[in-house]
Amino acid sequence: MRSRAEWRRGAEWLLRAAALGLLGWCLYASAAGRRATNGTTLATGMDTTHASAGAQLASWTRDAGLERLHVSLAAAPDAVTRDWLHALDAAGTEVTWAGDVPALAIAAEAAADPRGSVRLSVAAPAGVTVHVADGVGRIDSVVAAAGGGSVRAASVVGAVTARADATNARVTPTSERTLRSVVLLGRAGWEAKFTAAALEERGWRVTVRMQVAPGLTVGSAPPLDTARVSAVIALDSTAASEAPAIARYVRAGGGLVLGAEAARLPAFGALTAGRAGATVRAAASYAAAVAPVTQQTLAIAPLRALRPDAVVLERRDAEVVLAARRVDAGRVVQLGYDETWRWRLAGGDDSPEAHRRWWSELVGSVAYAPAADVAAPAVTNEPAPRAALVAALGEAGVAPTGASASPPFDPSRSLLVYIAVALLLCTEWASRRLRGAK
Amino acid sequence: MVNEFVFATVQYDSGDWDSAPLVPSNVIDAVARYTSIPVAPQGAIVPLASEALLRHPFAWLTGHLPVRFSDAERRMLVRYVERGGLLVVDDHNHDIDGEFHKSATEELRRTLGPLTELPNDHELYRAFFTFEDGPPTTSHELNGWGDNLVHRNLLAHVRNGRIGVLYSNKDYSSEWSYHPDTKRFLAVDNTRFAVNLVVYALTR
Repeated sequence: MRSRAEWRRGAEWLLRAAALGLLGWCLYASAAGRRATNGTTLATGMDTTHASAGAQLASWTRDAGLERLHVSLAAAPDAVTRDWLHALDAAGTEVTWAGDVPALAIAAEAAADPRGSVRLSVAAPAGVTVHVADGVGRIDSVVAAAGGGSVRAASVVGAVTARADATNARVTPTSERTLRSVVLLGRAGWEAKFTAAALEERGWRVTVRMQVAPGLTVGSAPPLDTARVSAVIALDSTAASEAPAIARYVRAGGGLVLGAEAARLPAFGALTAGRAGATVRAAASYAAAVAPVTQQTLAIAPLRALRPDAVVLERRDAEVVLAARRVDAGRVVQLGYDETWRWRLAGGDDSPEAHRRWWSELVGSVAYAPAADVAAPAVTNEPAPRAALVAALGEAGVAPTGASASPPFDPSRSLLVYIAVALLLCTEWASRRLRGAK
Repeated sequence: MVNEFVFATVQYDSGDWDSAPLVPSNVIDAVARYTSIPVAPQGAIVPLASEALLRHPFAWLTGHLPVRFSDAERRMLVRYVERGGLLVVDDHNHDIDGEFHKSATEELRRTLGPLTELPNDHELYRAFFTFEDGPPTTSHELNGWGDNLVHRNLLAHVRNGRIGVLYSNKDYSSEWSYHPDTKRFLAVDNTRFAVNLVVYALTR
């Protein structure tokens, strides 16, 4: 029968062997053991901000044997996280993702508007509510129709953020635009007068040339070039003499608003969006009308036979009343409305302002208005997080089968293993010393 | 025809709004004679309190008798001027102590604010014909009728840099109230200033 001293020595051998075994395991795992695993990690419900995801990302980055990584996202990751995952993917770890990340995008563009407004365009799946905010607070909410929606803000502070569910898209608006004068060519009449008045009251600099008698005009047209003129409004046949200059100006990048009467001139044939039809409501109907004139009751000269590259901007019933097209570097918008001044003068309480805004936006939509400067944004733009995610990691996929929810245990990187080794060796050493052995 | 100029005479409840019935046809004749502006051959008569006034951005108001606007007329006048209409008011008496002058200027002041003297180098006097000395004198001024004064300036209410109301003490209503055919007997057409009024209204 063994004595107590022999049992004690046996236990000390066992402690030594256990400590050496643990060290050997660590050595083996560190040297070759990791390559023997399947190397797939499944990260579920990953926090998508870099601050929280940093530890996980660092762990995966140190894991030299990680062959596949699948992350399940609750929202679009921020740019650093996304780029880190992309770097892992590029370094040899196949990274896939899944999650309900809405296809959200935002663009913020300073409008060609003397009052300096900003047009915010949002893309999102139909029916999704998108909240738009700037550095000060919420601007508006948009329920996306087919493809998205847009908001016009008088001004914005800092970056603009669109939020849908937990996903944010962020962009810094382009800087203000440089606006030059608007040249209005027309016959002396109410349409020319009130168009000029509406634009001037909205802040545009308007140069008019109105014909009052054969060979006699009020005002004169300046040389038409984009260094001096943002847009030309050609209302009627009195603009015919300027048609070649206007065509050159538009092809060089200028904007043109073409009235129905002017659009009927052969001289403008190469610029029109379509053929101007006959005016379908005569002015006589206004005299008999009792109700206020609205944009919907204005006389129209509908556009027919639209060019293939023309874009319809407004319709009344089935008739096209506003259409636009690009002509080389410039833009042309063709009016199908007639006598819009009646809307301002004989409309409802808000009609003067509506008339001003409509004309200003019409001119702004074609105006040559370069951005004033191209300063770098103060924040990192993230205008389309899902698109960036797809660009970095590809389309969403499904979790690979057999993947573990966490990285495999690596004893060589575990502090507990080394503490255990230390405890085993200390116990063995203490036991020997207490019994008087060396 | 669309987009044509229609000369509108304002009908108001008080006074005698129709005291110069030949002025419209004479002004229409002058505009058609000197300009290429499409002009309706017939004028229109528009009640001051009516929404119909808003279909005529140029309107002519005259009379001899005291003027007292109703509340509806005042409201419409404010709306008209705010939206860019031009009302030309002419004292058919040519008399600064006359009932029309005192009551009409008071009504306009109450409704729109003070009237100020229009400088004689204002663009109105160069809108078509050039009148170096400001508003042309009328035979009634030169003959010493009425207040026996030659009024050097017209009065105006200006809004957004444009004349909203132009007030005349010069009695153009008498000066222009004749059949257009009679013009052939005149050495200088005295309705030329009416062309300036219309061209100014249509271009500014």
